Amino acid sequence: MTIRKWFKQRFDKWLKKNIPPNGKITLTRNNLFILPTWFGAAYLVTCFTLFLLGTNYQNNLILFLSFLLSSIFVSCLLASHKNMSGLTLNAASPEPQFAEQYIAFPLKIEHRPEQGQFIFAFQQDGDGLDALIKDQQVLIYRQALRRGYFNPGRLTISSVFPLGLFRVWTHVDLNWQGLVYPKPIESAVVLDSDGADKQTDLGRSRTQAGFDEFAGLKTYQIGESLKSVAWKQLAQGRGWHSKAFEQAQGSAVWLNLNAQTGRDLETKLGQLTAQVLTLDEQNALYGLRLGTQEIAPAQGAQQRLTCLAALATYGINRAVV
Amino acid sequence: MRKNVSPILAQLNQVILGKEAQVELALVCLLAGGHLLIEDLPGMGKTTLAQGLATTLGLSYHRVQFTSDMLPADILGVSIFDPQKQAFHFHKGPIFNQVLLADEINRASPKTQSALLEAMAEHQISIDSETYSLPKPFFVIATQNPLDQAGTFPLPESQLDRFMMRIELGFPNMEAELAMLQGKQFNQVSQVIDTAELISMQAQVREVSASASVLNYLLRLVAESRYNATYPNPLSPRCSKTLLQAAKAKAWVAGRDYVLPDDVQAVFPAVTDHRLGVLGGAQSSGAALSETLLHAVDPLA
Amino acid sequence: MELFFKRHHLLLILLCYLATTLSLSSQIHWLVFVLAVACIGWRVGIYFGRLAAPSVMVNRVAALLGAGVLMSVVFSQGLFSAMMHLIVLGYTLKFLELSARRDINVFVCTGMVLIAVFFVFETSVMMALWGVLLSVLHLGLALSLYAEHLTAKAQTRYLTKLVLISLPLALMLFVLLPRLPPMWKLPLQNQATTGLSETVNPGDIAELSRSSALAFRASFAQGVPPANERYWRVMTMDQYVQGQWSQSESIKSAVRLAERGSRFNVEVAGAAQSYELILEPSFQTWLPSLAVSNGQNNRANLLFNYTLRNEIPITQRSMLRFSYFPDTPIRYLDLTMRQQNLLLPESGNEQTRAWAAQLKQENLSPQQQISRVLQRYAGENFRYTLRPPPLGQEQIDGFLFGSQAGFCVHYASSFVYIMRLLELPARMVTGYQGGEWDEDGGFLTVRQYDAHAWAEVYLDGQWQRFDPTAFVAPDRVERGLESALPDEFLAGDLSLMKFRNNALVNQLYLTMAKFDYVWAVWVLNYDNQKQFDLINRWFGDVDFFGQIWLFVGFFISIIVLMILWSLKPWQRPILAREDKLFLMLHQIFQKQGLERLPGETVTDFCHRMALVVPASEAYVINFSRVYNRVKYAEQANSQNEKDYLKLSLLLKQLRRHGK
Repeated sequence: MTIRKWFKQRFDKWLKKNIPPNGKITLTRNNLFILPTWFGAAYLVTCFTLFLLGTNYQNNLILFLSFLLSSIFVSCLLASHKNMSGLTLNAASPEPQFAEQYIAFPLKIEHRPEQGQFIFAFQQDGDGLDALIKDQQVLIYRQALRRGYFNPGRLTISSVFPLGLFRVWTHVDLNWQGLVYPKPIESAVVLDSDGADKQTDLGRSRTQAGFDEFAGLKTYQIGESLKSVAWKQLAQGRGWHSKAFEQAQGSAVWLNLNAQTGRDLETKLGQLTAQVLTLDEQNALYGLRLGTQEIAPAQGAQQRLTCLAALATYGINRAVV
Repeated sequence: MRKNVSPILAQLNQVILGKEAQVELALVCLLAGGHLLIEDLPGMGKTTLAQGLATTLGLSYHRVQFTSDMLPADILGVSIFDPQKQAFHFHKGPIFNQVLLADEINRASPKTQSALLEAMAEHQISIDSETYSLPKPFFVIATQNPLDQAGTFPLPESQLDRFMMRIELGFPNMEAELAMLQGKQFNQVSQVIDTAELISMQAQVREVSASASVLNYLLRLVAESRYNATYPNPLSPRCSKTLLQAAKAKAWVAGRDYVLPDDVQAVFPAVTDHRLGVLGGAQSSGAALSETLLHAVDPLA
Repeated sequence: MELFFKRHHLLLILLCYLATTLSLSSQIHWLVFVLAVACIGWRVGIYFGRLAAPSVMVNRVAALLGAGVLMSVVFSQGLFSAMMHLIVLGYTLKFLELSARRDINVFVCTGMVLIAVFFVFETSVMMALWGVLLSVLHLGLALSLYAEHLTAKAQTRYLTKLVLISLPLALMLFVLLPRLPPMWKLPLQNQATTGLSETVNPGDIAELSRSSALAFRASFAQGVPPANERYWRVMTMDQYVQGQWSQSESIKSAVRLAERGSRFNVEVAGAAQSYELILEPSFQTWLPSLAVSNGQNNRANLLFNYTLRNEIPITQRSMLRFSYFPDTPIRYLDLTMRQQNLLLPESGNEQTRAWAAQLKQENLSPQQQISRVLQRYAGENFRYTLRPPPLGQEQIDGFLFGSQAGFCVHYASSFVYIMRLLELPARMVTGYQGGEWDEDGGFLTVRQYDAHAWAEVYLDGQWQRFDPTAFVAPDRVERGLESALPDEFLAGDLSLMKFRNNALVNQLYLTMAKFDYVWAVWVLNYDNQKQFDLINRWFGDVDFFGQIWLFVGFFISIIVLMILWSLKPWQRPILAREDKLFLMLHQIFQKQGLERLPGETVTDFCHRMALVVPASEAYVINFSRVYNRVKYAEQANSQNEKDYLKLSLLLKQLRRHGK
């Protein structure tokens, strides 16, 4: 085990030197490995068997067959190298994902039309999802464990084209940095204490904002405040609806890391994540305070992303992976 | 710099101080026959630039301040029954000018916006089964507040595409602002060229040649935006056409009759930024998408 | 189960399977096909979801049962057949467990071995091409597993290309790689023997006369002997029992010894002539030869009756080289042999005995006695026919004094009988006589209908050949069976031979024969000797080490060609001249650690360099201006040429002053 580990370390070091991390890598003979597969070995044994048969029966046709098959073996060596050589890999940044979810690492491959049949897998991943290959776009999945910046490690790209006699492969580091949000931990929305002084519970503050900003009816969903139910319409027999309101300006609420109930930092961050998602769902106007960091109140998708990114990277140096 | 262009730029640069690059882009846009969208905070000189452009180029000019209660007829015009002639008479709206300055376009309702943008695309309007051609040349210079400002209707992507360029003026540097405060700014703008001259300039712009390697570079840029998942809104073929026109105008303004990759790069952010949109998340806070794209594609390959 | 298995894979496997097994169908027991139908049916059932895949247990039981049943059925046919059936069984049972790519890989490898087995049985040109096609089909199956991004058509094209580029290397290996001697004895296939048999019944040779099948072909280094000298001796028959000629025990034991490698030493006299035989498989050890012939470094051993035996049966077209000494007499006769060659049944054929006794009393010399006997054949109403009337118990009497109609065996048999009655040691010789000489091809074709029997009499201290048939039907000896018996020739045979009167058919026939000969000599029997000749012809005198260097040289050059073909360096994008010049400029700055940034244009790069390395300013700014003009502007060619010069000049100046 230790010897294996030692070899692996040496190999990783060697890889780092010879195939340095890069977002764009073109495969050449300098960064490709090639070895016969199990089938390649069996095929060679077959060639040798034919050679022995041909020699012992003094049968030139069998000998020729043996020579032809061996020559095809040599051609396949070249052909399988050719199938990977010149391939250009272009990494794109992955969509951020929550911890313990699968992150899809996108990759664009440029190849000649006759090249194909590539297999993508992360080196350190045993049971990941299969890579999704569509035209020149590839999505390779890897489960993110912790929040922060996530490097999926080296990507192994291999191919056994054309006859499966050889496996050509490379381990490339495409410098991927996936942003991983904390895993949401369900909890009630806890607002910042000084924010709570001025604003009461969020739902109530909205109803208090008045009917002047009434924007229409939407289908009632269980869990919504009863105060928002459109009773009039219900009485008319038009079913359950709730009154939707235009977002009231200036009714900002604050989320604060220090106000969370969780035992440790990670739990607190997880709770905050869940709360950001809840508030965003309610289209609320909210801000976030993380220690010294403060994100001004806003609403919408952009705000959600900003807050989640802040939660993901809280206390993490970008350089440290 | 082409000889007959420099006086135009010289004058404009005296109206808007310290914004040479943006001023040139604006002129390039007009020379390429495209519409211009200027986006910035109020009071940055958007309107001044638009007005200056119109006057300098000797174009008939009308300014419309967009508000949320504006109707399409306020821009296009309206048919009114003339009791004397017993017939409908069409009163042309402000759009029948060579330059229409649509101030704060994102304050108007989507309906009004789309009426204007339709006219921009087709260079004609149809009202009551009558078709009216717009004057030539016809430019729309629209200004817009940043989207996060309240009380606005952001232009949808499909309509942003109708603008050749979107430029931001940004704050002037201290020198320029000082000069402005010292009153060195020109307030009297005079006409430098006339319409005929402008039309001939536009014709010359169209004559600028683009070699195969430049076209290839342009195509690779566009292709990169389509294949790389980093870019949420891939660039359309219309965009690549627009990009080429703008690059040609840029090359012509620089005094060349052939396009360089540098020309493409110079107009690229202004032409593509509003088309590429923004990628959500904290990562995009760095360089704009168009810059990333320019870095990803080698002009020599 | 992996999701790789598609309909076209199943079809391809079926195609490979059927093509291969049907090619071998004459050698395969019908039980295999019953098993195959069951396995294929099951597999198709699995494919359509009607049947479940068999469990491992079922597979093993099926394999063991199949092997058991097959072995019990075919073991009597010999080890070779048993081994072949085992391979075919594995090939068939693979249908039941096609659950991973690996299974198909095994299937492909097994198929290749079976194709090799096919080549043991079939060696003609067509069959060789068919075998190669079969192997390519198997490779196509492998390709279809790993090349799903290509259409079927593209796969075919790709495979063809792959095989074609591999062909030069394969041919080179075939031509230049020295052949090794057989390393160990492998079991040989059992097959019905063809050609002459160990005993002589008149009916046997009549049967052979109806066959136009090839017996062997010969080419001569010193010119072909005349037709009446082409007596190819195969066996001598010295024992007459119950109307049948056969080999005595002493010959049989000599044959067994010769088959184990012992040789009879003979002192040769006179000049040697050499010839080569290409023998068709007879599955027997005898070899036809001209008297007296010696083997040359091969496994053909001489017997005391001066015939040759090969150490192993001729199971495939093989080539043997002989030296032949026409002036060496056949001398050997010892006491027991003398007695054996005088031995006759005590009684029977009384008419003949009486006639012989009468001749004996005339007190003639042996020579005169022989000519009297031969005159009798020539003078009386003897008739040469392949359809003689049946003879009674007393065969010789019935022939000589009854029907007087027969063919070579009848004449030779009666002649030897009379000689022995006259107390002259005599024996019957069977073999082939004549053959068709192809002037262009330079080879003699001997067919089964050239089978012949004649007599040898020990006279004046040596065995002398007498052919009584020649006195009855001289045409048979001079010009072959066809002219001797034009009506009876190949009656019932439907081959092309019959239509050779037609000039076109004859031409076609001759061309085919010639090609087949070349194929047999240069492909099937291409050996170290031929290799040596060929190398000497092409490259002059080459010794052993020279041959090795030649081989290595060819090998490397072909591999280099293949690599070139695969990398296609000539298809690499060619840089424009201005770009090459810019690259040089770039290299100058690269040495100082200054690189072009991603997305940076030439103009920007040059301006940046002008700032970073002020000394270079004058040159680089100009360079970028001219570069842009050349690359992007539409200029006349003459202007371009001037600009290229300007660029090179700027580069030179930059190298000198700009650092």
